[in-house]
Amino acid sequence: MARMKFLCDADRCIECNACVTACKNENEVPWGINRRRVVTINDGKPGERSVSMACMHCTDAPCAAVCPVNCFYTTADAVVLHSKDLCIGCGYCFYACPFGAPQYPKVGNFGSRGKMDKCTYCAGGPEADLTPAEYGSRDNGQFTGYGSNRLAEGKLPICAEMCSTKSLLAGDGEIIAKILGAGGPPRLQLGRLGLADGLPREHRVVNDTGRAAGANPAPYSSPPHGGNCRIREAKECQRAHRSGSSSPHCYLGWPPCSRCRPARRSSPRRSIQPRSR
Amino acid sequence: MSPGKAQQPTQVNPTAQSVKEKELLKELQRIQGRGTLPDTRTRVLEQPEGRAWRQFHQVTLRWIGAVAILGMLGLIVLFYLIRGSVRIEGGPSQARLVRFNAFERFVHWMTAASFVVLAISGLNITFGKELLTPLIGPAGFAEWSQWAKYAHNYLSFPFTLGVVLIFLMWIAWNLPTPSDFKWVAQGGGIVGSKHPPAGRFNAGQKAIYWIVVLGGGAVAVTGYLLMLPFYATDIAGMQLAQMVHGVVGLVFIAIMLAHIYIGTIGMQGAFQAMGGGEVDVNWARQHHSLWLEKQAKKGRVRGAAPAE
Repeated sequence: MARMKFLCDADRCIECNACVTACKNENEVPWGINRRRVVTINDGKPGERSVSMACMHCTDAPCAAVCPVNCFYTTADAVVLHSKDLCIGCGYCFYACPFGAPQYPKVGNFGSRGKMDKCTYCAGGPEADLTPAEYGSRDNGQFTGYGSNRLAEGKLPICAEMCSTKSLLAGDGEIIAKILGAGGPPRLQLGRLGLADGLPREHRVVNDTGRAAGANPAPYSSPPHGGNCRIREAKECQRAHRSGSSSPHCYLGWPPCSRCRPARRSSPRRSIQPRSR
Repeated sequence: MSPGKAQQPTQVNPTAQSVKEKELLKELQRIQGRGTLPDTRTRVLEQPEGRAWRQFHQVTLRWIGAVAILGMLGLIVLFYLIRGSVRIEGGPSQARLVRFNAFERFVHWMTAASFVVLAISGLNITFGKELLTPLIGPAGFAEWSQWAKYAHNYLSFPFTLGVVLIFLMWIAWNLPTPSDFKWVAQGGGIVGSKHPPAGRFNAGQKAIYWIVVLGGGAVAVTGYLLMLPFYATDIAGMQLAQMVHGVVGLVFIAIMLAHIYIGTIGMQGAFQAMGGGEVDVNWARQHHSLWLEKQAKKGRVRGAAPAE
């Protein structure tokens, strides 16, 4: 079973905060709560690095261990979620978390904590999947829900999707570790490692209703551009492969789809040559 | 400065200095950087002290609590079985005198009642989930814990007020005197029948007084730091406050169990002091003879003339 993880390549992160903004927008995170944040180390000096940090969805989660009411649970995808109904807002999860993931809206008595909120890996909460109750609403400054549940739709968290430099990767721990460890731009590696599936959402297999094919779609089931590929994706693919690039993979790292392969029958033009008459 | 100079490769190779993620996760110190979000706590990338705090809270604190409270209960039971309840020498007489006035008794009971609820709700945080979830289920336990937390937070105010009043009210009688050292040397007369003289408060009671004032002050200060998070401390301060609050609270509970024992079933005639305010003269002669003499001189003893 896939274990969902985040990995942030500190060499590629440019501190654009797109991940922070995307998360806050997608999950309607209330004011003052930052599920994801970007920290810059050695700012302005040589060796400056930025890292995007949110909940790391630990295997032996310290937040779950210290919670006095056991409101945390781990899903089958190894995502650590919690229940706001059981949470009493004591704050112990924040003391224990090495990454400062739990956040609190200051709406409790004496202006102290309310219900804890944290990165959910865009996997919602204990309520039924993809219901308004799960998404939640504003209630006296407190966000009663958990935000969007992209995992139930077969999508990856929006922060990793939106990352402008593909430094923040999300997905099965083994796969993204291979991508990060292989070195070089992740896009080229995807093709080289034969990992043509799992990343950018526009290349995922979707049917007409826009929902992922299959009950619990693994993002790594089949290559994109097969069968139900959306027209938009095919056009993009064709454009990429007709660009004359010498690489067998498009600029996004994908091998050409069946629609594009006919366009690749001729060898790529390496230089401008006069046409033979 | 020709533009060509700007094209020179730099001497610094940032990639060579880059940190692998494994190293970040093995780091033992807090890693802090710069950020753009208004909340300054987001500047901390990693605080590995959370790991140490988890170990303390889940393991060490529970051992301390179990040993202190169960150990004290065991000692009390043993003591009762061996020594039994301390009887009044010569039996109760009809003569009585006032020991605590209405205000003193009010302050004591306000503090005591708050303490009991605070103790139970506090113990619930540390030990509750293992003990109670099998009985009432997770939803029931979470609901009970929510109300326990409210009770804990709101009753902290009468408790703190009580501790402050106790400090001011009884400070005059709780300063060390020479009779205290003799009292301690003779073990307070707890074993055998020879009872050392004592003033209004004997050395044991003075110890309880200072434990209440200092311990109560400690839990109050750390408790308010926890209740108003990050108002005056950072994350390290909050973790320290929680550890102090937990340890002092548990030891406080253990000591108060002994105090409750001696004030109720441990000693005949003791409860009346804080219950109705008046005590038996024979009881006073046995346990607080110096105080009884002073009170008799002031003519505060009612009823039949003291025997013997």
